[in-house]
Amino acid sequence: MKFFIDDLPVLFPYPRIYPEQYAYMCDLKKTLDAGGHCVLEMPSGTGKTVSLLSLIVAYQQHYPEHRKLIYCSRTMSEIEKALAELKALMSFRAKELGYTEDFRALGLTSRKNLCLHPSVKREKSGTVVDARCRSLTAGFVKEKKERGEDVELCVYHENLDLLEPHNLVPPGVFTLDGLSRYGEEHKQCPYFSARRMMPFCNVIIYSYHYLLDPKIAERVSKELSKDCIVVFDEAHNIDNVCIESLSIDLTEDSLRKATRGANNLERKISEMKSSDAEKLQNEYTKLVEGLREAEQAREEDQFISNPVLPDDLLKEAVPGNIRRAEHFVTFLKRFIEYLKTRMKVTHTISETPLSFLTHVKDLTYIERKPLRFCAERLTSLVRTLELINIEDYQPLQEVATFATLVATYEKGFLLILEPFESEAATVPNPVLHFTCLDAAIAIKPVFDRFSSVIITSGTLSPLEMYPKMLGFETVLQESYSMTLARRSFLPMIVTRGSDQAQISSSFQIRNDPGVVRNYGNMVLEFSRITPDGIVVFFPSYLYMESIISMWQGMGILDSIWNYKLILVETPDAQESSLALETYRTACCNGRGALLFCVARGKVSEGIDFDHHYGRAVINIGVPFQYTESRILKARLEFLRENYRIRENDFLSFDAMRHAAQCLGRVLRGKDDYGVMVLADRRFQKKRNQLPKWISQAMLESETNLSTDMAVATAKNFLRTMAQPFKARDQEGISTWSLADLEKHREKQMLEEERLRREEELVNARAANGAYYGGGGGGGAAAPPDDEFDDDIDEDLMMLDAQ
Amino acid sequence: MSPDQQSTPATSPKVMLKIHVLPPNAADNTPEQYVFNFTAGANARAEADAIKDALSAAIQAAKAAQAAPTPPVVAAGAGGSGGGGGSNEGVSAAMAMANAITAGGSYGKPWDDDKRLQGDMELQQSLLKSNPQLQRMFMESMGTKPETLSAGQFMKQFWSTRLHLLRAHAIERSQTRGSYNVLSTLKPRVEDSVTKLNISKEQIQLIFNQHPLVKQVYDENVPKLSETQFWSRFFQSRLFKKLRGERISETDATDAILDKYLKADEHGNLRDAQVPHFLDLAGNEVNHSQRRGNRPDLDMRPSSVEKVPIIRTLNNLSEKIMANVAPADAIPQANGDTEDDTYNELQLRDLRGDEEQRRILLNVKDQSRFFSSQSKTDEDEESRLFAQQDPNRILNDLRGEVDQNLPEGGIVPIGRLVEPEEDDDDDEKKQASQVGSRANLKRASSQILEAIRDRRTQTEVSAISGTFGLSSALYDRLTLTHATSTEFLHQFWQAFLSGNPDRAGEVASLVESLNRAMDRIKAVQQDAEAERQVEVNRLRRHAREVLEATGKKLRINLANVAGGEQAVTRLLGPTIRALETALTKYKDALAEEMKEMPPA
Repeated sequence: MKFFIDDLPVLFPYPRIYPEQYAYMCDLKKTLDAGGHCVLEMPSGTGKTVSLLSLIVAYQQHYPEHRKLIYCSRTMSEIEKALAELKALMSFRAKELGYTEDFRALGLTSRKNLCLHPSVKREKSGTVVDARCRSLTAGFVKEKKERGEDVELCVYHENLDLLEPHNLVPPGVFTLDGLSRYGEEHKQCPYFSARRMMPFCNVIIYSYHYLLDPKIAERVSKELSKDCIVVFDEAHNIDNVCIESLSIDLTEDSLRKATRGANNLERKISEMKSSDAEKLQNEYTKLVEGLREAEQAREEDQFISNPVLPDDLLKEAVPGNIRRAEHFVTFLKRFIEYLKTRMKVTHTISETPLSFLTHVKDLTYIERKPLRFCAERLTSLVRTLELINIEDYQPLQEVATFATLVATYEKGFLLILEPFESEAATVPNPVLHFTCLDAAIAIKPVFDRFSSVIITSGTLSPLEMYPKMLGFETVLQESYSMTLARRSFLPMIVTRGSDQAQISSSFQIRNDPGVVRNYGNMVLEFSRITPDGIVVFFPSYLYMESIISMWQGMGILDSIWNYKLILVETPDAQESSLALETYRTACCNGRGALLFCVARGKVSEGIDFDHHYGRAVINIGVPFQYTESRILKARLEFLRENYRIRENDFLSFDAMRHAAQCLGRVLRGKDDYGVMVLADRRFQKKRNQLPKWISQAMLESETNLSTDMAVATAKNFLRTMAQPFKARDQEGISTWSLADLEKHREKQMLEEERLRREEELVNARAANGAYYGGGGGGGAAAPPDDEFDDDIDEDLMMLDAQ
Repeated sequence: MSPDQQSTPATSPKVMLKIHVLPPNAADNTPEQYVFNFTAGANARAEADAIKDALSAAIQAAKAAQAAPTPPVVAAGAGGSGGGGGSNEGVSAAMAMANAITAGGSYGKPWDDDKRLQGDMELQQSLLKSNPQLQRMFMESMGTKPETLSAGQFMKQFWSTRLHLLRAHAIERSQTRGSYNVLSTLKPRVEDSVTKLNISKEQIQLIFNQHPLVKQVYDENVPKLSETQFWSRFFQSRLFKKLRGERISETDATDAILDKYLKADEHGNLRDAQVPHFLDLAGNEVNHSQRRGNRPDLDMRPSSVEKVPIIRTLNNLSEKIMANVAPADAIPQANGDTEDDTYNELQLRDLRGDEEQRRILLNVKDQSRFFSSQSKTDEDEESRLFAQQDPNRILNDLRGEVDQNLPEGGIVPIGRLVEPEEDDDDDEKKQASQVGSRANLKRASSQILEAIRDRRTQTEVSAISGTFGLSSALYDRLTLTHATSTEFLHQFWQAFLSGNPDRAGEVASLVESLNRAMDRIKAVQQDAEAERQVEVNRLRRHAREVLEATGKKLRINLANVAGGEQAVTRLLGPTIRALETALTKYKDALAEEMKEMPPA
C-alpha cells in the first residue's frame, strides 16, 4: 500500500499495516528530519525491519540528498534476513512504480562466509581463511606474479580486475546467498565485490563491528558522508559489543607464541637485509614522515585491524627508537618478556593503564610513546616484509594491539591479572585481561561522525539507560505498545512449583534437588500441553549442563521423551546448527521438539522461533551475569562512579533485557501466538523492567503462579488460540487497511487542530490575564488553579513537619 | 531383477559401496549382496561416486524399462537394516537418510511418477482393499468388460482416471509412525525384591536401529551368552549408562565383556549438512573474524563433552529419530527458490492480502448444446417477448398500477401493500399476471423451495441416504450400473476420440459394452417397475381389505408410491442420454466410414 507521512510518499510492501508500524515510521521520519539520534523500542515480531527499510528507502528516494543507509545488525543470520526483506521491498516498489529504481544494496560478512576459492573456503577457522585469502590476493603477491615468480593467485579475485570498478555487480539488492551465487556464476569473488562496491551502494548492511572497530570505521568514513543514516538494529546488546571491540586477553600461551612470532620476524628481517635492503630503508624514510604516508595504497591489504588511533598519532613521525625494523623487533621482545614476568604472580592484580605504564617504564625503560605506535608499526613491517602466512603473527599482533591500547587510553579501561581459572583451581593459568569499561568510547566516533543514528530493538527498556551508557543525546525516545485484537501471547511469572516451594536460580538454592525437580516438572508439564516446539532458556551454560544432567538422573528427561524430541545448544556452533535444523524439522513434521539453550548464547541471538517453531518459551531463572566476575565488578563500579547507574539497577537491567529478548523470539506477526514463562521467584519484583509491550500484556493475577496454575492457564490459552482466527477479525484494531490509516490520520489532524486552537485560546487568555493582572495593580488574587497547588504545598509542609 | 545400491555417506573415512541384487528366481526373496571397498586413499571417494552415478543411471534405466507390473522397488529406505550384520551397519540410519535425500533430489518420490503408479499392481490392490466401494466397482467393471479388452488394457484405463487416488494412497502408505527414544521407556521394576524388566521384540528392534553399537555387541556375543543373560547384563552395564548419556561413576558395576565396547564412539559421523544462512550459527560465529574481547565468564564456558555426555546424546538421538524425515530447511538444489523461501519465512502473514482462491476454470466453449433444444426455444420465446416490449409503456403501466394501488397521501392499509389484489380475485388471469399477487407469491415461494430442495440433494454428501423409493438392493445395483456405464463411456470416448485407426476394433467392442450397459439399465428399470408394482398391489389389496372390513373406501394415492421405472429413468436419465449420444455418434461415424470406404 502507499500512503503519505507529511509530504513523504511511503510504499509499504503489504496491503495492511500494524498501527505501531505506522507510529514507528512517523517517529523515524521526525528523527531524520531533525537530523538527530533516537532510541526506539518496537515490540518483537511486529515487522520492525520492514517498517524501517520502507521508510528509509522512501526517504532516500524522495529527497534530493539521497542519504545513504548503513544498517548494522549483530549476526549474519540477521543480515541475511534484512537483505531478504529489502529485496522484497524493492521488487514491490518496482511493481508499484512501474519502473526499477537505480538502487544498490549489498551485505558484507567475513571472508569465511563468502569465500568461493575451492581450497580456502574449506578452512575451518575464520582467521585462517582471512590469512590464506590475503596470501592469494595481496598487492605484492600480484606484483610478484607479474615479475614472473611462481606464486598462486585467486582467480575469483583476479577476475574482478577485468570488470568496471564501479560496476562489479549489477544494480539491485543481493542477499549474501545471492551474491555467492552470482559470484559462482561469474567466477568473481563475492567478498571483494561487496567491499569494493560499498561506496556505490544506497544501502549497506553489515555487522556492528565495521562501524565500531574504530580503525575500520575511519577508513570507511572516507566514503561515507556525514548525513548517512546509521541504524543499529537489535541494539539491546550494543554496549557489550562496544566494549568487546576494545578489550583484549593475553595468556601465557599467547605470549609464548608472540615470542616465536618475534623471532620469526627477526629472521625475516635479516634475510631481507641481505637480499633487498633497499626496501627496509624505504620503509624507514616513510616512517619518518609519519604513519599516514606509510599507510597509503593498502586499502584492502590491511591485514589486522588496529585499535583507535587519535588523529595526531597518524600525522606524527614514528619515534626513532622503533623506526628501524630490527630495533622494533627487539623492542617488542623486551615488552613480551616484561609481560611474561608479570604473569608469574599468584594473586589477582587489577590496575589502571597509567599505573601499568609507570611500572613498565620503571622496569624496562619502555616509554609510553613508542608503545602507542606498536600496532601500526608492526602492520607496516609485516607489509614491508611481504609476509604471507600472517596467521603465525596473530599472537604478536595481539600483543602490539594491547600495547597501543594501553598506551592510548587512560580512562575507562582496567588491567586485571587473574592467575587462577577459578577460586578452587590450584594450577595457575594466568590471564591478563585488558578490559574496556566504558561503552561510550568505541561508539563515540560514530555519534560524532553521523548526524542520524537510530538505535532500535524489541527490548531496550529502560530507554534512558542507553543514551546514558553510550553518551549521546536523542531527539526522540519511544517505546511502542502492541495493539492486539486478541491476547496473542501469554506472559506469566511462575514463582512456585506445584508443591508450593519457591523456585529460583539464585546461587543459594539453584542446585537444590527440590528446586531442580520443580523446574523439571514444569518443563515436563509444558511439553505435555504445548503443541510443536518449546524453547527453554537457561541463564548460563554451566547451569544448563548441570541441570540437564540432574534431570536425566531424576528420570525427568525420560518422561519428556514421551512427548517431545530433545535438543540442546552445544558449545560447537556447527553441531548446534544441526540440532536447530533437527528441531525445526521435528516441529514441521508434527513430532514436536524441545530445545534447551542459553539466554546469552548463540541461539538467543538472531534465531527466531515463530509460529509452530515456538509455541512456548520458558526462562528458567533470571539470566544474571556471573556476578563473581572481576571484569563485571569493575564495570559496575565504573558505571556507578561515572554514569550514576547503581550496580543492582544495571545487573537487573542486563538480566531483564536478555530475558525479554528470549521471550520475544516466539512472536512473529499478530496471527502468531505463544506462551511466555518466566520461572523464578525474583521475576516478580522485576516485571516492571520488562519492555512495555510485554508488561502491559501481563495480568496482575498471572505474576505469582505455581506450576499447576500456570499449566492450567496455558492449556486454556492454547486451546483458545487454536480456534480459527481470520485476518478480518483484527482488521481496524491491530491491523489497518489503507482506509483505516486515512481515518486515523484524519482523526490525528483534527486532534492537532483542536490542540492548536486550545493553545491559542490559552495563550490569548494568558495575555488577557497578564493584561488584567497588570491593570489590577499588584496584589490581585491568584487564579483559582494556583490555590489548589498551595493546598498541596501546605499538605506537604505538614508532612514534613510530622 | 531388482538391483539396489547403497554407499557410505560422504563424511565417513571408509568408502564402501554395497549393492543388493534380487535375482528373479531367488528363493525366499533374499537379495544377494556385494560390498565394494574403495582403497585408493584420497581418490576413493571420487571413484566411488563415479561408479555409483553410473550404476544408479543404469538402475534407473532398467527400472524405467520394466514399467509393467514390477516388484516393489520402494524398498530403498529400509535396505540398511535388512542385510547382514558387520560394521557397515553402523551407518544404516545415515544411509537411509542419504537414500531418502537422493530419492527426493534426483528421481523423485514414487508418487510423483504417474507411470509408476499405474504400473504398481501391489499398490492398486492395497488401495482396492482399503476402499470397498472402489473395489466393487472395479470387480463389476472387470466382470462386464468386453472380451476383446485385455485385462491389462482394462486396468490401465481404469487406473488412468484414478491416479489421484493412487497417489494419495501411496503417500498415505509411506507415512509411518515415527520411532521414539526406546531406552528412555525401559524401566526396570522391582517385584519380590527381584529387579525385572520386560522387553518386546519391537523394542529390541528399535534399540538395534537407534544404537547400532548394541547390535554389534549382540552379534558378537550372543551365541556365547544366552539371550536373557545378554540383556540382563546389558541393562546393568556401564555401556547402557553411557548410551543413555549418563555419567559413569566409579561405583558402577563392571562387566568384562560389555565394558570393552565403552570406548567405541557411536557418534562418528557428524553429517556435514549445509544449513541456510538464517540458521547458520557457525556462520554467525565467524561473521567477524577479528573479534576481540575478554573471554566469557566462568559460567558461560561450556565444559567438555566427556563431563556432560548427556548433551551430545540428546542431540544425537533426536537426529537419529528424525533422520528419515526430509529436513524442513534443506537448501533446495534449484537456484532462486531459496530467497523466496527465506522471504516467505519472514513475511508477516497477517499483513498479507487475502489469498487468491485457486480455482480450476472449466473451459466450456459452447454451453448451449448442453441444454435440450426445447428449453432453448422457450428461452428464446421469452427473450423475444421481452424484446418486443416497449419500456416506456411498461413504465407507464407500472406507474398506473402504483397510483391505483397506493392512494395519495401515503396512507395505505398494510394488507394492501402485502396483498394488494383483494378486489379483483374474480379474474384469475389478471390476478396471475399481476405483480405481487397471492398466486404469484405462492408460485415464487414454491419455486424457491424447489430450488433449495434440488440444491440440497445435489450437495448432500451422502446422497445414498435417500434411495428415491427404491429398495436398497435395487439402489445399489443402480449406482453400480451407473458407475460401470460411466466407466465404459469414459473408455469409449477415449478410444473414439483418439482418432487412432488401430483402435477401431476396440471401439467396436466398447460399443458392444455400451449396448449392454443400456440393457442393464433397462433391466434395472424393469426390476424397479416390478418392485413398485408389488407395492402398488399391496396397497390396493390393503384398501380392498379395509373396504371389506369396515365398508369405508380408502382413497389410495398411487402417485405417492415412489420408485419404479420412473425413478430409475429420472436418476439415470443423463446416463441414458449420454449412452444414446455415444451410440448415435458412433453410428454416424461408422456410416461415414462405410460411405468413404465401401466394402471391397
